[in-house]
Amino acid sequence: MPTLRENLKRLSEAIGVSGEEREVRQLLRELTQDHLEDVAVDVMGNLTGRLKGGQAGGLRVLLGAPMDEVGLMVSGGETFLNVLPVGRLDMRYVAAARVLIGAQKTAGVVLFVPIHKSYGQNSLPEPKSILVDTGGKNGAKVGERIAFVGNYAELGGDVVRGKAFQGRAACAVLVALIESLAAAPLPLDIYVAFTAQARIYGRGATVAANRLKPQVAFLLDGSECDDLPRAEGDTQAPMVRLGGGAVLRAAEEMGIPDQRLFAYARSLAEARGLPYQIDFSEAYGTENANISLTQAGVPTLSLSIPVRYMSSPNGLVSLTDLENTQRLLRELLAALTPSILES
Amino acid sequence: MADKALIQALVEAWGPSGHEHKVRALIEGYVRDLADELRVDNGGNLICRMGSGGKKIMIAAHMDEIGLVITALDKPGFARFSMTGGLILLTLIGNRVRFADDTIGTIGVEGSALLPTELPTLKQLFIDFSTGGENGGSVRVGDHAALTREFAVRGDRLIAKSMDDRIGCAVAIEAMRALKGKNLPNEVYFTFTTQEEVGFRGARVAANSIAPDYGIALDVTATGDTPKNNSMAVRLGGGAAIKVIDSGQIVPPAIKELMIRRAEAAGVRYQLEVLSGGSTDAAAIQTALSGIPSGVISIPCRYVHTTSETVDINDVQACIDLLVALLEQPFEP
Amino acid sequence: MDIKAHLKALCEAHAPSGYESAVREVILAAWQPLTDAQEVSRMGSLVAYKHGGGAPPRRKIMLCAHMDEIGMIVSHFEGAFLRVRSLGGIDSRAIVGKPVLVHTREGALSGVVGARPLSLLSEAEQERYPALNELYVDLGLSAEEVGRRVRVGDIVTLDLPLIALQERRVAGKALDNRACVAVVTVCLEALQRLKHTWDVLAVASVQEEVGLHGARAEAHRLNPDLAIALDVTFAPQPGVPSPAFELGGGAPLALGANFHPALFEALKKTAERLELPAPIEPTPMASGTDAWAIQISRDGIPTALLGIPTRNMHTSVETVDLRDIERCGRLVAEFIASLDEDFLAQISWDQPEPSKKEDA
Repeated sequence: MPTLRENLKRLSEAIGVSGEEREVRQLLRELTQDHLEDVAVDVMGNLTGRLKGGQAGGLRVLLGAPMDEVGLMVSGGETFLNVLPVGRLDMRYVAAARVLIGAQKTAGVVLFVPIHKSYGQNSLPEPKSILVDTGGKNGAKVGERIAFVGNYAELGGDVVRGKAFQGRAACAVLVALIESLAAAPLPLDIYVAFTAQARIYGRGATVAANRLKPQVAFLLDGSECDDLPRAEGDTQAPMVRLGGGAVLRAAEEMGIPDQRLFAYARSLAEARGLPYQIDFSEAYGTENANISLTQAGVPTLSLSIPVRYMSSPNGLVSLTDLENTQRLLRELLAALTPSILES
Repeated sequence: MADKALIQALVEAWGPSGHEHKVRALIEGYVRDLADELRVDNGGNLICRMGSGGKKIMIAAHMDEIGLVITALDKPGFARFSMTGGLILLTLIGNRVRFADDTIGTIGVEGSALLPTELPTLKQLFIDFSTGGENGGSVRVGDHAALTREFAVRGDRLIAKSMDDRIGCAVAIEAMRALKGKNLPNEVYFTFTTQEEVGFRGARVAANSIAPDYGIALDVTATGDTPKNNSMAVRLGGGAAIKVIDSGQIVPPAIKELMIRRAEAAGVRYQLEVLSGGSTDAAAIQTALSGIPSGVISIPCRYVHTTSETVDINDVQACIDLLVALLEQPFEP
Repeated sequence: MDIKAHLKALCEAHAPSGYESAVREVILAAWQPLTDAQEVSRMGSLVAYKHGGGAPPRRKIMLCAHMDEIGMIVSHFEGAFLRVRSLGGIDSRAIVGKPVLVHTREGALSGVVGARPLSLLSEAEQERYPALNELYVDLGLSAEEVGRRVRVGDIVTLDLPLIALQERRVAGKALDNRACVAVVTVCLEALQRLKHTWDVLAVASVQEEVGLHGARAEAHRLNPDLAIALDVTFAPQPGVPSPAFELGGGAPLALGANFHPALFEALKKTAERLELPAPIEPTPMASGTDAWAIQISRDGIPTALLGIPTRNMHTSVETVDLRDIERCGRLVAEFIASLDEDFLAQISWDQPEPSKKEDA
């Protein structure tokens, strides 16, 4: 776990706004280089590779995790920078945010009209109204990406706070799994893809799957927790709890997951006594559907890590959930046979 | 356990803000033999000193209750009114009020007497003091009245009008009884204050003249323990409420912690109170002169500012015990 | 002195209204070597005395900058989550997702201000900021752990560092009003090199954000001959109407009923003499600062107000320019050095009629 904890911190703090994932990609390359061969950065910026010591002729499996995070792009401005959104912003978290601009990471803040001058104005602003202040006039160039600053911290128990957990917690789990598979190989031909542009319609994964042509894919991602105080009268039990284990998605925005893999994962998790939970909600921005649609349909399963406040720069994840997700995915791979896909 | 007869006598007394003389006379009767020195100041406050030397501590419990004042006469037997203190319009229609001369009035609303369905405005309400005679009674513009309702007991629960703040007065009197004859390390000024409900006016005057080192108000606080009410942590029967903050005051942490220490040492059941809306005499004491650090021992009370203010006798006793524990030892926050 | 490092230490102290002790320690450490005596008042304000060179009894000038910041306080629990209420005007719109510390009896716990995800909100709720009573603090702990470690009444503060922007500007929490505390530090430091006959009473006041309580108490207790209050004011940004004062454009000097006009003139002349920019901040009625409470203390105290222009006030990215702090500190110090025995006579409301020529 110390490595997982450290990797998660480094991954969370690295910057990788959709379309410019370089820093995260370079970090992931460093973290996995000992265990991968045929490493490539493809046209989309996906980092892909083949697990060393894989069994040629074995079932060809793709393991994926998204690298990118939502952010902003500089569009102009003089005293203050005008910006455009990258990805789907939850505007509640943009007010008075701290940001880093471009590769040089110039510090900036999102302007917020003092309450003395805006009392009672409670409508969320449009993303295009966001203004960023660098304190000076030479702050940034048009087209530079702007990342939100998280505040990584270890809270009580096994919970950590930080930004970009939707993708980076998945990346940290995939790094841990690669290490585990390198230490104790399985008779499979395993490819990995750290994908770009997941937060803008999962486009990186589409290209990665086309290139690598897996027979089956397991995609890691984050899933929004709903174990939170509810509105008066909302008595629905939460579906996704922090600390509740890996999340199996029963529904996707653009399709439903492969039913054979879903049933396989569910029964295996129960047989092995590994915690899991099922999310019936239609999640945004997952890549599964895109990969399912490529290559006339690759059987694909999403495994998600529970994240509270997933769209904020300060989400919460449970390291135990990360561990358990890694273990479940390893078990799924260990017991994987072609017959599961034939049933 | 706290003296129910004392509490009943106090809550049934008549004393809207600015007209506390009947309550003051009643309390004087209880405390005359307990105090080392007793005076009534220009603000109408009854100030009772116990002990001398040591830290000067002002204990404030207000005598006044929410009420109303006649603003205009309407057709014979009816009058219009405005509020003295925070009456809740939603609870008024059909309530009875009592004037200083014991005349009883009934609060009514304009229009058809049947099934009013909307929250009335103050202007739509009136008082019916008609007697059936031609002139319709003796009420004049400027006369003050208070709500009236009988005291009731349901197990440990005591229900009455003006528990706010006669229960605070009862806590003070019981503490004086408990401290009588003891060698007090502090100079304590039990102050029964006026005009709290209209802006802590009595306490402000008294704090200026006493110039104490510390202040403690005894007053009711609301609770969050009724159905679909999750507004605050205080609950009836949960013990004395040690105030942390309300809308008018931040209790200095050292005072709060002293109360907690004393409560824990004396085995007094307590809870911590964070109140939104409302404040107490302590807010006025704390901002008097060069600043007088002040705390509040709150008596948890449901339905504050109605005629069924409800307290728990065990909480009342806990407040008395906590106050005594604070005052019988040197006051060192 | 490294003004940025000083300001960073001030702003990163956690000290909301009524709970100022943490920042008071930082200020005391900075002011102790610069002053002759220090004390903490009953209400918790810090007063540092720098004696003047005149013969006693000396005149006294009070400098007053409030040290409290806006924060929150735990009001009750909802399972593992803490419901909070405001301590001094927190802007609930600007705290969603921000890191916080909950200050318990056993130390501080890190957490985050949580809100329900969009998928759990109605359409109308998705289009507005949540209110404070819809937010909560999430410590990532179980309900049992929370119940064991956190108490009703524990305070909650934003946990964000001061950061440097371009051009000597900094952003952070609590620059309202620690920027002005730093002004007093700069002034006290400048006074080490200047002669002054008056006593200087440097006050870091408590509870400004909840009703000017600290300044009111200290003005009554210390009863100074003159007072200068220091507080942040607005810098221009979209949504902030004029009058607003450019960052780096100098400390605005307030003019209006809350201030003694002759004291205003005297400060303005000092600024002119030093060629320091001192824009005028028109303030017709209440200033909403400590000056409002100080002016009517006892027999009335001639009071002035200097401000530090600030963007994004009452958020965790309040932004000021260090040059304004340095210049304002110097202005106040030079003004104090210029005070002589006769100064009070000079600031009377109605000057005697100029003597006529034939009388001369």
